[in-house]
Amino acid sequence: MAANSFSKAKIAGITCAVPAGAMSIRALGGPYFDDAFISRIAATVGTDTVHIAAEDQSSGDMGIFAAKKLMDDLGWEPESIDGLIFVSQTLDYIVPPTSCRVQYELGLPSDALVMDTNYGCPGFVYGLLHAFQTIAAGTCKRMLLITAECHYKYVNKSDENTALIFGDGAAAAALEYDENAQKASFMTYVDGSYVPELALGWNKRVANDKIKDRAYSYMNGEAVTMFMLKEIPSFVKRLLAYHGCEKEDIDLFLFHQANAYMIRFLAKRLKIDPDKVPINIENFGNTSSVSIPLLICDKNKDLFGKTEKRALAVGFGSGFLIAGTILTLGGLSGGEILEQKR
Amino acid sequence: MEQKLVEGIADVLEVETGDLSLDTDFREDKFEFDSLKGYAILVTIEDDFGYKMSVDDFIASKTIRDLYDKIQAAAA
Repeated sequence: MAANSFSKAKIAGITCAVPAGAMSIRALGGPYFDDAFISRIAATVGTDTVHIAAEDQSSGDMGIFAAKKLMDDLGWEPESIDGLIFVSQTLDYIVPPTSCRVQYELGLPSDALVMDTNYGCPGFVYGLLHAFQTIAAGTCKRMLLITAECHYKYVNKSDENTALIFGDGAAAAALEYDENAQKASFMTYVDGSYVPELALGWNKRVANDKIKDRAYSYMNGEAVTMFMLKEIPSFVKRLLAYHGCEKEDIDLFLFHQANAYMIRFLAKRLKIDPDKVPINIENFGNTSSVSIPLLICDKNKDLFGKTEKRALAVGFGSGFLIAGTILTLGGLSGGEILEQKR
Repeated sequence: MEQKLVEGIADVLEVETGDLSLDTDFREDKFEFDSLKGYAILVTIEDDFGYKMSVDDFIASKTIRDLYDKIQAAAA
């Protein structure tokens, strides 16, 4: 079992950025779907409005915008940051790593550690795991974790499974070494037999009958739903046991915002107080690896004051992958959801 | 066991347990049944009763009692 606990790193701040201007799914879907279908998406998935990147607006653009503001708020000089992780499925470049562009534009030092990862919806939790590992190992003292997506560019506008679900945006999280940090635990889960069920961009050799249109994201909604409804409750129970606590000890459950009904159902299966399970998919759609930090900035303003909460966060999606963490959040800097001009 | 099944289905349909009986047709309009709720019922049955109901058996079931009977038959 890949699981680990750390006690020398903490999150110091989070700031998000979305493309300016919310668009309603009725406006987006109107040309392709009837009213009844759009209403059904709004009722089950829960999407109402989304933010969509302009044609020339990239994941890196939004991530840099959020990170600059966060660095200002924290008073972190660029030279003091020695690590950067950039997580996106929609990178600015296939080659080189987008983190190289971000290092240059943020003015981070040349001896900083930079890396990209292309995890999808569990990407924020995976990014936290990698940052905590890197800090705990003594490699870095201060790191930026940026998650950013402009997934909508790869959505077939008339595909019932994906058209009215995804939104774009970015989040920057600041992490640093802290001798007195509280324990944070991480756990991951993978079942690669589901790779083709939720995929974007593939080599001809691995394409199969399920993947019909190579230009766009493909999602087998049935497979994703069944897998996640079944696996997430037991995953959460294993994570709680690993951390050595009960669900009652958790103040806040941060689930990836994939589907409002699914989140409510998971809360019921786990017998969690729904007041501890914020949902904001209605305002942003499924923003993949951005959804959890966006949820923190949008629905948990108290964490940017003195309040401390023990949070359990779970990201899940393409792979299929699940990544979870239990950590203490509070006293954070930032907290804004900036709108970047399109 | 009957009560446990009704409670599970109530969670899926987002209604109170008292709103349902074994003879309830869970696809009635008022429950806004859709495929997502269908999968949620299958997962609930598998988790709570250890029975992996086939999609065909699920589609053939109209009431909660129909589901109950299939779970019972599998356990027998």
